[in-house]
Amino acid sequence: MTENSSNTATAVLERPDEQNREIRRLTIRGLLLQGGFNYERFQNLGFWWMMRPTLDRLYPDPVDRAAAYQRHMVYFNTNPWVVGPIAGVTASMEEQRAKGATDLNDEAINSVKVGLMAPLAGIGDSLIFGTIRPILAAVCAGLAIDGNIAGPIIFFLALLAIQVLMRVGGTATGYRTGMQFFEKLSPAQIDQIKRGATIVGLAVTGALVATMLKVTTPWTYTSGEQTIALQDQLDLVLPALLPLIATLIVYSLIRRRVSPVWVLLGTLVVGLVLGYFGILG
Amino acid sequence: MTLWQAFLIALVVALAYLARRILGDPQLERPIILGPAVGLIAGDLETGLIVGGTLELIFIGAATFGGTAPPNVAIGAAVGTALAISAGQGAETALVAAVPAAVLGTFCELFAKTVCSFLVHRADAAAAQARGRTILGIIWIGNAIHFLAYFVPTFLVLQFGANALEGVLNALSDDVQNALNTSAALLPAVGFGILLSVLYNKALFPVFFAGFAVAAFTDFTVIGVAIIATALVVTILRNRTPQTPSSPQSSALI
Repeated sequence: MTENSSNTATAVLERPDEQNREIRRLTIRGLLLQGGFNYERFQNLGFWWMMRPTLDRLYPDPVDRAAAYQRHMVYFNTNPWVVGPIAGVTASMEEQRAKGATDLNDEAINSVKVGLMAPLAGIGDSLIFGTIRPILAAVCAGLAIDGNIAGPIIFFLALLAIQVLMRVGGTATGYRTGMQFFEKLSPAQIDQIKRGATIVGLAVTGALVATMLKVTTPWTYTSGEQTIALQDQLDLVLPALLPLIATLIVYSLIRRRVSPVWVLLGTLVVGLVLGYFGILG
Repeated sequence: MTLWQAFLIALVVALAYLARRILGDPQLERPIILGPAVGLIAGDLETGLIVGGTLELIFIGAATFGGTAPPNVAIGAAVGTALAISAGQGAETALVAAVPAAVLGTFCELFAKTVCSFLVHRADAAAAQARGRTILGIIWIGNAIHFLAYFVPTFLVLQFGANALEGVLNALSDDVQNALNTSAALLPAVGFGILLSVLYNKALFPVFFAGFAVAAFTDFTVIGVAIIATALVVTILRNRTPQTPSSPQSSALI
């Protein structure tokens, strides 16, 4: 790596309109984050594509540019909805480095990337895929099952709106705060947001099990003169008891690292068998 | 299922998945979107909506977390919807095709992501020489592999597998139909179970039972429970987060 690089100060963005254009470019390029996704380094190619214009501008010298390209070829993986702040912070660090911040070596830039990608992915996974999408999916699937085209349309538009806001806002925040990002959003706060999303997600999952899962038993037994339906008795104890049991069984299997794919096939078969013999119905 | 319909459906599935690679993460590969889309192509939007909604519930928790391979919802939804429409026997029959197709489809994504791992080393060599255009080319070769890994199997299953399955479905007795209905009712438990394990947090887990109890014993909907939970969380966080010392205005008032 050459320290006496030929970069001039003119390559660094100082004017607000230039910075806005940079933020816009990073946001749009972020759409390709998962392009060329691979199991060796996940989203590394897509992240390089996001950084490319910034790197090309800051490092006109081929040797510096090659070093910068290689710096961003390393493993990268996060929730695609929250890549904005990471890209923003990284671009701003590259600017600082090109300006002459010699303490920002490869290791420093990469450790900030890694330090952001895991906690932010935690927020994204629990907030988006664990909470917001299931809520939307449950409501919209109900509409769709009634034959209402509004189901898929609302699902698509609502998620799109949330994602656009997160990507645009996230990139701008990351770029403007740069390395101070951690001061604005400390790891403790990130953890709190994740816990908050998890609480809502768990409550919603509980409600989903109670309302959307219709597992009942047609079994009856005679007590003296009366024929008593087992389901009625169960409902007296705890409504939606069978759905709760079914969910907890699946959950404990997956916690024991049984592949979801096998659980899915197994549930299909168990459902067929129990239905065929009239145990569940 | 004509050749053209199979082709168009496979194209839509592969494009919906490609969107995850190149157009952000628009969630187009979810059953609730693909079901109606396949319905339009196969000429029965209503069945498409019903099957799409049913499958969305089953796969509600299925997502790629940290690079794991969940059941392939896109291929499952497309094959299930197409079959339900061509066999004309309701949403439950779609599951017979959708679940195995989703399981087999898992390998398609695994295949694409594994093959792309070999491309990364070419990208390393190009990066060492600062050849950006070459790296971009490699990204698009990768995207093409991802596209084909969805398009080819979906097309083959629709073109050659659907007719055979249709015959099986038409021969099913009433007992088996009942069994199918039971399976359809039970399968969303898989989605909810996956969702639970995704959200797993030992200290917070009792909240799941609180949400369950509220919805089970009252008329509260999912949205109602979500609003209550969100309000509680926001209240707790606001009152716990150490606030910055009082602002100038308020201190002036004291």
